[in-house]
Order: sequence, then C-alpha cells, then structure tokens
Amino acid sequence: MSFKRLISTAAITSSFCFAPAHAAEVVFYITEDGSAADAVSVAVNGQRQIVNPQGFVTFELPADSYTAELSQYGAWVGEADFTLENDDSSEDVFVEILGGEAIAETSSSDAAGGVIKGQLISNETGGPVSGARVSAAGTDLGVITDDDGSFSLELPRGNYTLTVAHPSYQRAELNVNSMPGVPVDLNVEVGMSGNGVIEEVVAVGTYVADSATSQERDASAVLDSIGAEQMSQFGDSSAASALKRVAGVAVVGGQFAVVRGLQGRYISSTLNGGLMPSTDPLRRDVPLDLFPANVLGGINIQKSYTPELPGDTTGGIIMMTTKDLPDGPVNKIKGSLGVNMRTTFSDVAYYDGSETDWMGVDDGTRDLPAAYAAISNNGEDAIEVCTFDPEICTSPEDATKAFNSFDHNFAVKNVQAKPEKSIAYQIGTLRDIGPGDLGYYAALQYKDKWTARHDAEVDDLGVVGTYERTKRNIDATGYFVVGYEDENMVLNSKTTLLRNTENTIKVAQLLDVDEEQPQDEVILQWVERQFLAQHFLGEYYFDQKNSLDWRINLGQTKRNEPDRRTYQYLAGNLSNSTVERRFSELVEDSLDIGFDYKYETNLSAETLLKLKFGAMASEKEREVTLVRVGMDANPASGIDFSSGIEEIINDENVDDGFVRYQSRTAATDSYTATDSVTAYYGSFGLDFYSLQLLAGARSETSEQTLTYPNSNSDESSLSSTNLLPMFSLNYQAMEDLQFRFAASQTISRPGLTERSLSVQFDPDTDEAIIGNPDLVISEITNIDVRSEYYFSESESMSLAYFTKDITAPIERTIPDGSGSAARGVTFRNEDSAAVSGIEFDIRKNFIETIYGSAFVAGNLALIDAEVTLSEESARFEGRDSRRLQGQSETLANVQLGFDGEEYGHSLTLLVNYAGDRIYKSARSIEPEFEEARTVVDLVYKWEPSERLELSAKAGNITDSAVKFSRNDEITEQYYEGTTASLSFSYSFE
Amino acid sequence: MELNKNILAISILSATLVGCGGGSSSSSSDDDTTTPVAGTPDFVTCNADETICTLEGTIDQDFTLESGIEWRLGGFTVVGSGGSVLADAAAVTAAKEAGVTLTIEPGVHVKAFSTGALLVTRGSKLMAEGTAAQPITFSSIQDEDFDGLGEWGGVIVQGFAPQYGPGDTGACFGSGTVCNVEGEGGDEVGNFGGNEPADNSGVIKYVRIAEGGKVAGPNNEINGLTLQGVGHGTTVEYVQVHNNLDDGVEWFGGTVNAKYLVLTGNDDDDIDFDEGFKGNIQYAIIRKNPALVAPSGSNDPRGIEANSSDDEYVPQTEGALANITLVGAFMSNDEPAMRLRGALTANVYNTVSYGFEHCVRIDDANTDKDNGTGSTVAGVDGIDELSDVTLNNVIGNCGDLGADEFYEERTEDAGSNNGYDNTVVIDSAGALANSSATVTQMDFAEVDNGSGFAFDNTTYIGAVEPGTSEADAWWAGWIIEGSLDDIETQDPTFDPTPAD
Repeated sequence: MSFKRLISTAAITSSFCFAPAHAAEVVFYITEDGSAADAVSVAVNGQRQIVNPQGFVTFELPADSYTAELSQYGAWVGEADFTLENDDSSEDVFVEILGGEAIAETSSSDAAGGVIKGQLISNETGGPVSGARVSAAGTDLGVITDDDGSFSLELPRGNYTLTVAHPSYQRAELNVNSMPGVPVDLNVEVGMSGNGVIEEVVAVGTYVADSATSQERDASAVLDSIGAEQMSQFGDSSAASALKRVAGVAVVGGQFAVVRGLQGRYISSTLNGGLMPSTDPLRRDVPLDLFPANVLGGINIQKSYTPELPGDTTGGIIMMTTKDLPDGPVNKIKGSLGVNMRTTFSDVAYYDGSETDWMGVDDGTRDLPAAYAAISNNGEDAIEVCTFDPEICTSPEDATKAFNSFDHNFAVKNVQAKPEKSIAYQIGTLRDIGPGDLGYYAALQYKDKWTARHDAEVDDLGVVGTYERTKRNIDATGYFVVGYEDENMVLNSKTTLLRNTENTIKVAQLLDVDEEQPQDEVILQWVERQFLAQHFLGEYYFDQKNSLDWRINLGQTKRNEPDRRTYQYLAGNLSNSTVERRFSELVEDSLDIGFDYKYETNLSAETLLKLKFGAMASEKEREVTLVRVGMDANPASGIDFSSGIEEIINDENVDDGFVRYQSRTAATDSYTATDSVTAYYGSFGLDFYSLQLLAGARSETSEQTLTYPNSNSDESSLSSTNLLPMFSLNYQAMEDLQFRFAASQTISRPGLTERSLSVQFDPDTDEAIIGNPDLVISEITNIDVRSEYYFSESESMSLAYFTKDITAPIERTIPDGSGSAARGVTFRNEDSAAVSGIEFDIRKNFIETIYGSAFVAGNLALIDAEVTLSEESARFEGRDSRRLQGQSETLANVQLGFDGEEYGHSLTLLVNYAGDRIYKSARSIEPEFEEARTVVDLVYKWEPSERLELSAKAGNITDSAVKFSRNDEITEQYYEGTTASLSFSYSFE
Repeated sequence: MELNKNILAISILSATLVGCGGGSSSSSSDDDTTTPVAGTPDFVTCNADETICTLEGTIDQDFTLESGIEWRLGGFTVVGSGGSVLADAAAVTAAKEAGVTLTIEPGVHVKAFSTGALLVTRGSKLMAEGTAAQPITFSSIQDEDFDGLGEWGGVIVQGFAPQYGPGDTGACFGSGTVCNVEGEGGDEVGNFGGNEPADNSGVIKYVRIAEGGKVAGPNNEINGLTLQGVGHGTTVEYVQVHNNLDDGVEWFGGTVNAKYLVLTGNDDDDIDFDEGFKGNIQYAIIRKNPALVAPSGSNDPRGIEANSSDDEYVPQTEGALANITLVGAFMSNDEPAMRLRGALTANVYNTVSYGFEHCVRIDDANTDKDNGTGSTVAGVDGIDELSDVTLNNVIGNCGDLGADEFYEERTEDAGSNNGYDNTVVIDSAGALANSSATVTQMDFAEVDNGSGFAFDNTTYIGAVEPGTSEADAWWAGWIIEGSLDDIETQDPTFDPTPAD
C-alpha cells in the first residue's frame, strides 16, 4: 500500500526528467549470437556511436535517407539503409551479427512497447533483493521485485531511466531502451554501502542526495551522510562546510566539527576506514578543510557507536572516504574565481616571504640559517658569546656572522588582496577487461585564497584595541586511485597528497588600560601542512553469505611552521624580550591495518542473521621539534627602540654587537611520541520480521608514550584496555515508520600534547598550554532513541533524543599556576558531564510544477550539556558546574532549494545557525563566549549542456559580525565579509 | 659507611663518563682537559686543578660551594626534587626527608652561563650566608663587570608555605593539605606550596644577584630573587639584586620576611608581592637605572608593585613595609613609585619616594570584570573589592618636580603625615637629608604571619638613618661597587638618549 504511494510520488517528481524528442530518431538494436552485441560501432551521417551494454544505439537526425556503417573491433561488419520521413518519425533497425556479418532489418516503430526484465542482486550478499521498487521515470509504471529479486516491466517504446529503490539499499538508476519485440534482460547490482553514487554518475535532476537518504535509512545506527552531489549542490568546497548541513553538527572556526554539542574530543574520524592521522600538535581532532571536494568521495556521520567503529566514537564519527573508481570516463576541468566584498582589492597586512610562496612552498628562506644552527646545536643550546673557553664560547666574529645569516625581515607592509582563484582537473575511466572492470581516477587542484578579519576590535580584561589579520591559504592537491572490480572483489589503491599552506599576518594596536600602556603586537606565521597517504583497500565476496573487507593504510602528516616571527612594542618601544623567531616541525608516520568479516544468512524466510567481526591495529609515531630564537639588545647601545624594527634589528647593529639572537628553546620543547591502538570486535545482528537487533562489543587496547630527547624528564605513558559493549534495537512499525533504540559505552583518550610536559604556546594568543601528565581516559555511557518517518523515498522526518554520561571528562581549564604560569591553560579530568539533547530533521518537497520543483530541508538540535567540575577546577573557575566547552545549546540549519530541471537551473538558499558557546573558561570570572551567529549562503547552478556546468555562490550574505563576549559585553568582534564566486566545470567527454 | 659506598659508586660512574666526554654540554675548563675529580657527584664538573667547577642538573645530595673555586652555573641547576607533583601528605613527608642542602661559602662568586639559573625546591635548603666583608655573588659569566641585563636566569627559592590563587581562588591546598602550584619562570620551574607558614628554606644573607632575568618565554622573565611559597623560617637579609631584566625580589605567596635590601638597576619592579604573601619588609633602597631611556623587557618599572589587578586580585595578600627609599629615573618616570592594588591589605611606614610619575597609586578591584554592576566607588564602573591601605609618614616628590602628583587614583584608607613634599633630598648614603626625615616614634603594625617579626620602631623616614655616613650605612662594603654612586644627584627628568 505504501509502495503505491511512493510510486506515484516518484512519478510526479521525476516527470521533468523526461526529455521529449526534438528530431527524428533511429534506434539500432544489435545482437550477436542471440544476445546484445559488444563493441559494435555505428556510423551515420558523420556521427559515430558505440552500442551500450544492452545493445542499443540511438541517433537523432534530420528527416532524410541514410546508410549506416557498422563495424566491430575496428572491422567492417555490414551496413543498413533506412529513411526518416519527417521530424516526428522514428525507425527501428534490428541488426543480427552472424559469423561476423551484420544482417539488418528496418521497421517503422509504433507505440507498442517492449518488456524490460531483470533481477536485482545484492552487492553485499550476492543474493537476490526482493521487495525493491523498480520504476520508470516519466511514467507511473513500476513493479516490486519478487522473492527471486526478479521483475518484469512493460514499457512503451522509448528511452527510460529506471530507478531501483529499496529501504535497505542505495538507490540505483540505469538507462534502458524499450523497443517492441526486443526483450531486455538486466542484472542489476545494488549495494548497501554508500558513497558510490558520487558526482560522476549522471544525476541530472536529482536534487536530494538519494544515496544519502537510503544509506541513512539502512543503518542500524544513527547515521547521516553527505555525498559529493550534495556538497556541490550546496557549494561546499570542503568537508568542513559540508558538515554544517547535518543535524546536530556545527563547525568551529571553519575547521573542526562539533557533533551533538560534543567537540573534537568526543568525535572520532576515519579516512578510508583507518584512524585519521592528526596534523595539528595542539589538537586531537582533524581539521576538516584539509580535504577538498574533488578528492572526497563522501562523508558519513554516524552519531552512535557500533562495535566496528573506534572506541572514542561518542558524539559521533566522521567517516571520510576518498573517491572510488568512476563509473565511466571522466575528463573534466574546473575553475573558479571569487571575491570577498571586504577583503579583495583592499589593502591588507602582508610581508615579503620567499620566491615560491605562491605555490605554498617556502624555498628555504624561512629555514633556521645553517650558520646559526651550527653554533647553537640546531637552535637547542644557548649561545655563549665569549672567548675564554673555546669549547663553550662562540667568538664574537662567528656569532655576528651567524646572527647576520638571518634575514632580519620583520616589517609588515600593505598589499592589495587578490581574488580567490582555483583550478582543478579530473580524469579517469572504467574499462571492462573481461573478468571485471579496471579503472582509474586522478585529480589535481590548486587554490589560492585571501581572507581577512575586518574592523576587528578587542576589549577584554583591560586590553582595548583593534587588529588586522590577513590569511592567505594556498592549497595543492594530487589524488590518484587505480582499481579493479568484478563479481567477487574490489581492489583499490588510493594515493593522496594534500598540501595546505597558511600565511597569517596579524597586527594589533592595543592599549593596556590598567597600565595605561600602548601595546602593539605583530605575528607573522607560515604553516605548511602536508598529508601523504597510500591506502590499499579490498572487498572480497566469498559467496552470498560471506564477505571480507580489508585495508592497509600508510600515511604521513607533516606540519612545518618555519620562522614564526612575533614582537611587541610596549609604550612605543620595541620590547626585546618579546622578539621571537620560532621554528617547529611535526612529522607523524602512521600505519593502520584492519579487516571486517561479515556473514549473513537467512535462518528462515523472516529471520536474517548477521554476524560481523574484525580487528585493527594502528601505530602512529610523532616527532615534534621546536626551536625558539629570541633577541637580546644591549640597553646601553644607544639604539632608539621606538624606531621601526628594521632600524633596530639589522646587520649594522649586529656587527656592532648591539643586537644578538639567542636560543630560548626549552629542553622539553621537542618530543617524540607513539600512539598505538589495537582492537578486535564482534557483533551479532538479527532481523526478525520488523525488528532489527544488533549487539556486540569491542575490546580496545591503547598505549601512548611521550619522550623528551633533550630533557631528562621521564618518559610518560598511558595505557589501558577497555571493553566497549553496545546494543541496539530497530522496530519498523510500518513500511515508512521506524523506531530505534541504542545503548553503548565509549571512551575518550587524552591527546598527546594534552599529556605532554612540553609547554606549547597557543598560535593565536601566545598563551602557554601546559600539559597534564596525570590525565586519564574518560568513559561514556550513551543512550539514543530515534524515530523516523519517510514521506517518500526522498522525503523524511526524524526525531531523536540522546543522553551521554561522561565520567572524568577532560576539559581545557585553568592551571594551578603562579604568576605568569597562572595565565596559561591546562587540561584536567573533571568529575562528570551529562549531555542530553533532542534532534529534529526534515526533508520535504513542496512545490512541483512543470518548470521545476522546490524542497525544504532542515534540522534543529537542542542540547543541554553540563559538566560538574573537579574540586580544583571549581576553585579556579569559581563555579561547581558549567556548560561543556565549545557546545551550543541550539544548532539549526535550513535549506531551501529550487530545481528548474527543464533548463538545468538550480538555486539553493542555506541558513546555518549556531547558538552561543563557551570559547574559553576563565579564572574566577565568567567564561568568554562565542556569540550566536547565523550565516546565509546562496548557490546558483546552471547546466547549459551536459558538459558544462556553471555555478555562482554568495556566501555569508548578511555578513554579521563574529562576536565574543563576557558578561554580555563584547570582548572581541570582527567581520569576515560577504563572498561571491563563480565557477565552471567542463567535461571533455 | 653507606655514604662512602655511594661516593665510590659515583666515582666509578664519573670515571666511566670521562671516556665519552661527559654528559654536559657546558662542561668546561680553561685548559681543555675536563676531568671529573674522584668523589665528585654528577651534577658538578671541574677542571683538573679544581679551580673551576660547573654545576648543572639536579643537586641530589648535600653539597657545598667552597670558596677559592670559581663556581659556574652551566644550565638550570635544581636543588632537590621537591618540584615534582606531590600527591598526598606522605609524598610531602618523603620530599622533606629527601631534601638536600646547598651551602655556599662566604666570598663565593657564582658565574652563570646564559642558560644558568638556580632553583631551590621545597624541602631543600639554600645556605648562602656571606658576610659584609665577603658577600656571595651571582652574576653572568659573559664579562667581569655587573653591567649586563638578562644575561642569565636568577635565583628561585620554593617552599611549603601557602600560596593563594589569583582571582580569589583560595589557598593552594583547597580543602586538603597538599599544593602543587606551577611556578613562574619557564618550563623547568616545577611545583611549590603547602600549608606550612613556618617552613624553612635556609638563609640568604649578604648575597648579591646581578645581571639576571633571562627570558623564559614570550613575556616571561625570571626575577632576581624569586620567593615562591617560602616560609618565615627562612632568613632573607642583606640582599642586593642589581640589573635584573625582571623584578628585583618577587614574593609569590609565602610568609618570609626580609630586611636590608638594595635593589638597583632592575628593569621591572623592585619589590613585588602577590598571591597571598603575608610578611614584613624593613630597610630597602630602590634605585632605577639612570642610563636607560626605557625598560628593555616587557616591563613597567615601579619601585613597589603589590598584588595583581582586578580579576587577578588576591585579597589574602597582606604586606607591611617600613623604611624604604625609592629613587626613580627617566626610564621609570611614567610609573608610580609604589602601586598597591588588587584588594590587598598593605601598611607602609616611614617611606620616601623621589622622581616617579606619582608616589602612591592605590587601586581597587573590579573582580568580575563586569563594568555594569557592583560598583562600590562612585564614578568608577564595576569596582567591587577595595584595597585596605594604611600609610604613615609616607612622603615624596613625584611628578613634574614641583607639582603635587603624590597620589594616583585615590588616597589611603588610614594613616597620617603623608603626602607631597618638595623639600625631599636624598644624600649619598641613601638617607633623607632634609628636615622631613625625622618623625615621632610610632608603633608599626606588623603582619602577623606567625613569625613574631617585630619592626624596629624607627623615628626617621627612609632606608638609612639620617646623618649616617656613606661608609657607615648598612649597605656599605658589601654591595656591588658603584651601584649606589651618585644616587644623591640622580635626575629622573634627564633623558639619556644619545644625540644623533
């Protein structure tokens, strides 16, 4: 009953896809030895086409008489004559190739139809898929597959898009021709796993990512997914911007995800199934903007834990997969040009870097000069300028030479910010090589983007002023996947190189109100992040019941921050002790291997048993080196410290011995760390009538060690083994209504730097970040309840409630410090935290006309997360409990879309709201909040032809200020500017 | 017997180290032949004839710096291991039992390399007891003079006395007895504090600390003498801090009293107390460097800086000071001679200031940083906790000389005979030489920190009794030569910028 309704809905929504014939048409149906012919090409009137897998070729031609030439494997096999009487006529040409010779028979077509028959096979089980709906777009015709997965559908003559839909499978679309007297037999494979239908699939007119919906519907756990289609629909250029569209997900600072009010600490990330390597030593989560859209195949967000996932999947997991093999040839170029209404062409703070900065690569200009490295043990040891003991002393001559090997380049100047530009190229194909398909896909991208904070003001804790901050991001990406797939297996090798370079210039003019002292600060920071990975991934189907997935992921992340320069003028004079050049590098090598084995069998007609087990091992080795070089100036030198910094730090003053560089590297600045996780799990699933039960457990053993090669500080390590059980129950009350319940236990481990003795400095504020070696692992109990209602295959509504009880949550808090050591931040296990929330999500189509359709999608999350502080934190923060850091109480998204499929236009309006959240807790006073903010984006797309796609995006339309506050008084605010961009993509084939 | 065995073991260990060049990058000698002497522990390396010995690492046994040897600080040198986190009372007891004593003989000159600093951890003691004739000196090794600034770290002493957290966050021991407060001064400074006001960290007497204050991180310098949670069982008398890039002496909590301080050429404040310090200070001469145009570090040079501002206030802080002479210079002429703030309690007696922008600045605290509510002072938004300042016989000539710029912000809460005095004259002994100097005797109120400290109830203003000759002043003979020369003619309006 419900299917009937589904079919009619589908028919209406799809009706705009049906393209009317504009010219006379001839359809060739070519068979060889009784079945569809392979590799036959047909040439008519200067056009040449190859038969499709069903044996059809269609030409649209002006009315005339023609001779078609047929060849196979390059050899002539025959010809066929036909006549098209007028523009409305159509001819069918049946060609039978017998013994290498084509015998053609031509007939005028009539309205009588053909029969499309076929069988649906599950990709996962290899078995038939029953109960699936097969319908033809543009008609109200549809059937349900029977117990063997078979269907038979009579269709009038024509070309159709067949849609295959099943609650547990990904939606599939295929192109068929129906001709009288020509039986079409199809074997259609459908898969449960998502992300297959991405971009390169012809998805004209698919305005809701159906793959995502089906995937969501299938999962036993609470799952949201975004395919690349959706990302491009919304103009999302990276994972970070795409994630904002998912219920209960917020993205902080454009880079880090907050899922269900839980920030990075409670969210795990995987890339192609393996644990994600980290790229920022100060964070334990992954900057999402590292992955551009033409490399990402898809993102799944699962908001509840299941045993095959990492044990730290508490708020959720962000599973990113890079692109798989394409479904056919791809050869596409993309480009874009964008402006920021405030930034572009305005004067922004900048400085002279290296010759190759435009590539995002420093040419060595920023390296610690060799002459300095030589006299300072690579910057680790202080330099003693003296002569009394050659073993210890560096002579003044050598020292001067070494100091002058620095470029003394500190000055900030103004330059005009350039428009944002990017260029990308993608190429790939999939070829049938007999037993299976072999294919590849490669992508290259370059992007250069300038952003700035405008009218930035600060007024907090007695410091008032303004600042300018310019950021130039240069991204370069290379990606290559090659693979093989056949009935039994999939083998892929994926190679990824991502580079993201960030050049930040910050100039602040502040006044310390309390000290009545002007305080001008400059930060010049160049950070190169690089991610290089080689992933080998395989799937193997032994038979209909048994399957194995495996992966070997090798990765290396690097973060190189050479010559970060900072200095301050206090009361108009350069403060020597604030001058610092910092050189830091992080290299992390990772190896992640794992497998998942699945066994599924029908115990009876109504009972499906699913068993799953697997294991993984991950090993990361991190090496961090940090060198700090400060400046000493002789106060009696007569230098005028109120002059420009290059009048103070220059070759002459160094030669005169007035100015010296000096290493200020602390012994614990550099460290090496290992982080290993091994896990195995098993789960048991039972589908019984409308009940789905899943139970399982995971055993996870982890060990972290930190050592300080330059210090006699002890090695610090943390190891534990945790058993993490879960249980879930799904009840399908009706075909289109289901209820879910899940309970699980998860953990949260401290990050490496959170336990490090090495005092790090916050890149933005220069605040000391003091690790806490005593941190322990937090344990979390999760409960999820969710109900879902599907209006149609592409329309749904869900309501969820969840609670999370966290024991010993780790929060960024106030150190027990004295003097300047009290000003930093540290991490502490608090007593407990309780998180509960409601999520509402809806997708609904609301206007359907012959010109197009419109939809509204939205989600709303209301979250309450309170942390009960430990005695120490309570004493320092002056409160016993507060909201969990980084967590908004309200998160909302609304998308309004209009699709004018007829002419290839689409318009999407996106509104994203994040309520206020604690930015930073403070000693004894109110925490600093990031104020609630609404961002509105508008995306317009036009596809004038199948090859060309144009889009225009207006971002941050309202350009409301980013604001921070304390006690409801603004502490900091700035504007990011409205952006406008135009992009095109052109497919060569 | 036990000790002998240890020494034997150490000597074998040391001997084996010779072959691989020793463990210290700063191991040193004049004749290039570094030879650890048998019986020398591994934190010390000496040259062959034992005329020069270098300290580095953790001094984990009682040790004496004998006179006649040139002692050097090759790096961060830590006495004892009380700086590690002490989890409970048993750990505190164990730390005390494991405490060691570093004794420095009179006349010893400790020369520090640029990474050098001396940290005495809680439970351990520094016995640095010089004499007026043979003071103990710390300075940098870079040159023979004492003119440098920020050329090495400084001396840091930590104890088990209470510290109170900024922001009125209470005693460091909370509801328990154990403290682990991370000290200022860089990564290597460990934890201090406890609940023992009477704790004893030794004796620092006739000690001169010069040219210190090395930068330990952005906006982070080391004080000349840093006293973190040091108890009143400790003696601090006759101490000079000269040319330090940060403060002269800074107290972070603790209860240790001090007498006879000479604080000269320091780039930041000279006397700085905070974080619940409870103690008394009598007789101090403070002199700013007349040769500097501006501070060299990220500093705001005042004579006395007590407690932190506003949200960092510590109302438990309580200090009593008597007989201080403060002489400003051009580099400090934007700053007050003394700044008393942060809802503290302070009593200042018989003190004279000369040549700062203002003589006395008293601030109250806006503790919640909320400008809208809770103001207890008319016209000042948000003030909600007041300082309690008593001044008696506190006079001075500050501001543009000749104009009354005695107070900044507000006047004292109690006291008498205070204010602007344009007749102030300082003589070469650091004594007040005009008629304002003599006052009637009054009872100074000491801070009761349990020490039983009693002020000398002097009848004069300033650090030195009027009429005392230079040679008879309490500072004569032991301070760094020349460091108080020409104090009587110091002109804070003189701009030392050299002409182009």
